[in-house]
Amino acid sequence: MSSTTASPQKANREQFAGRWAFIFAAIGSAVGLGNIWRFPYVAYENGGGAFIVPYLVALLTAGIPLLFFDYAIGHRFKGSPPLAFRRLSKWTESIGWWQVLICFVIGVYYAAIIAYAAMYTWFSFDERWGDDPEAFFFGEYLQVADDVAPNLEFVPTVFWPMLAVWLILLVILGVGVKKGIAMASLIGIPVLVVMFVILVVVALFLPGAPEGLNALFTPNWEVLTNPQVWIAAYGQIFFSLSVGFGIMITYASYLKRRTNLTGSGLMVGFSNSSFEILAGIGVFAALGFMAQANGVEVAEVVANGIGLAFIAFPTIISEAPAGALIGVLFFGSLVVAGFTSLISILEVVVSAVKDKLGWSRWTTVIVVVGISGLISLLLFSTTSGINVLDVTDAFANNFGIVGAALVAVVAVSWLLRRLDNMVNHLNAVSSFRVGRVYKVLVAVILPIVLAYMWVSDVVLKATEGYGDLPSWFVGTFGWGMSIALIVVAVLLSLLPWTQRSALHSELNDNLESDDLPEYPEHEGTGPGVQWDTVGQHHHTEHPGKGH
Amino acid sequence: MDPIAILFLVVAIVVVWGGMVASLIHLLKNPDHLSGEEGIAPGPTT
Repeated sequence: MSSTTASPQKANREQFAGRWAFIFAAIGSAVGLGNIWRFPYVAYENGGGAFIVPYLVALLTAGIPLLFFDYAIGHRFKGSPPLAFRRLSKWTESIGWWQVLICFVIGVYYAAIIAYAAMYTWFSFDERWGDDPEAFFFGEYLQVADDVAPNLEFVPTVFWPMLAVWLILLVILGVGVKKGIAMASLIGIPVLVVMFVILVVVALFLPGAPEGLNALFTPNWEVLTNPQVWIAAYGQIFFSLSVGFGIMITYASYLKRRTNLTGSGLMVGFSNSSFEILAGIGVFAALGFMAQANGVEVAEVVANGIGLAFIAFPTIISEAPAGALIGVLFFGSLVVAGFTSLISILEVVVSAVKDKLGWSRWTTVIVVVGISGLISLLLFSTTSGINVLDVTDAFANNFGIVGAALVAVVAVSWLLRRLDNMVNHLNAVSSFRVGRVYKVLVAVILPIVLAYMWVSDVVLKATEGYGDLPSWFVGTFGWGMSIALIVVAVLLSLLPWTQRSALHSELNDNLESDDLPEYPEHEGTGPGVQWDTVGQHHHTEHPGKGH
Repeated sequence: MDPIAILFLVVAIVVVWGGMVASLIHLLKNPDHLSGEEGIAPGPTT
């Protein structure tokens, strides 16, 4: 790695081998637990078949525009969120750190859920949960303590699989973008799709499956006049697509200059939604069977999240023919989908630390994964883990992701007025052109939707608390954690970028001339940017001269 | 399954999976080096 003062030579940033590696990694990130255990429930609760209307509107007016926005920031400014936002303006670096810290928090509890799913894949063979899956999950398996306060009573069947998750993660992130991150998704996504398609086929042949699909797809048009249904659609799209908290910025920073950004983004956005539809069919076919087997209505067995995965599905597995096969396919899918998402979440943290400190990838990964894994095991592999997980998940998603996305779009669109630059950048390299409509969506519609979601959630939690948990607990792991992330983000942004940092040592050949007043690191670096040998582009001279 | 549920199952699949197929075709027709304002305009090679 060279210093800018000593030599004009700069290191190249790590890159994906090609756009398909990037697309698979991005799909691997987007397709996660939310697709499998959140979407079916949200669709059912918000209009069934009619939900397709607000869902598609949300995808096209918010999800994909925000995906493009993240791509533009990450690709043009070629860095992890702190570096990319630092290159945008020195005032916005803290937004990047906020996103990084949100990823850190989500990463440490996400590993626990993957560990649960891995153990349940194993439990499926002998239906370890017996006649009462709920009592088994909270009692025998998690051994949940009566007192919610964090303790150090480790649960071996949670601790060891979690440790395995962190060790595998260490290796995947350590070997790098091409051989680790991209390869995990290039293998994981086809495996996931094959497993889930087999699961759906098996589920569709279960007795009662048609009733489950009736419940999911029969439209209820009246709910479309309810604003909460539209907010639910926008919420599902935000939380499902991995947008707004740094992942897509980080992945886009590993793309070569000439990459069809919007064309790739459409593929990622629609692939993610396609998997959600598949998950909806599989989950509700299985719930239809469960309802029939117990002689109740589908409405009485519908569940989401932890309740769907670790209580409803074990019941289905116990009662269904080929139950063990269903169990292995369902929990195996959760493990694979969760893992490719966890990789992307932790890579945001690794990339940010690596960029800021200029460490090697292995050094950074050992430190970041080591610290994250330690905190993760201390907080979530104990008998008090599930309550901490519940609260941190609720606050990291709503207060964190939605809040950070809101600040990012407002800062770029209104405070810095750089949205035109982003649009120009997207159009310079992409096949699907964006223009005035896109700018209205990002600068007006997105802030309104995000602000509504954020404020309504904050007001709800402030006035009614969260769940049945004591206020000191929610105050510490919910509000306290959320506010601490912002404070720490600001502090981290005040740390100087050394000469070893990526800001000074890595080449950014994705720049455009209109960025350059912000780029002290490019002063006096010699030959400047020559990313396009075709000569079509007008920025072939030293970027510092501008145009 | 009820006809209306079948209809909406089909609509959801056609629209969303159709969107994915359309995106795939669009992407295959637009390789990186030909895309955007920096792309080389396709034309006669001789």
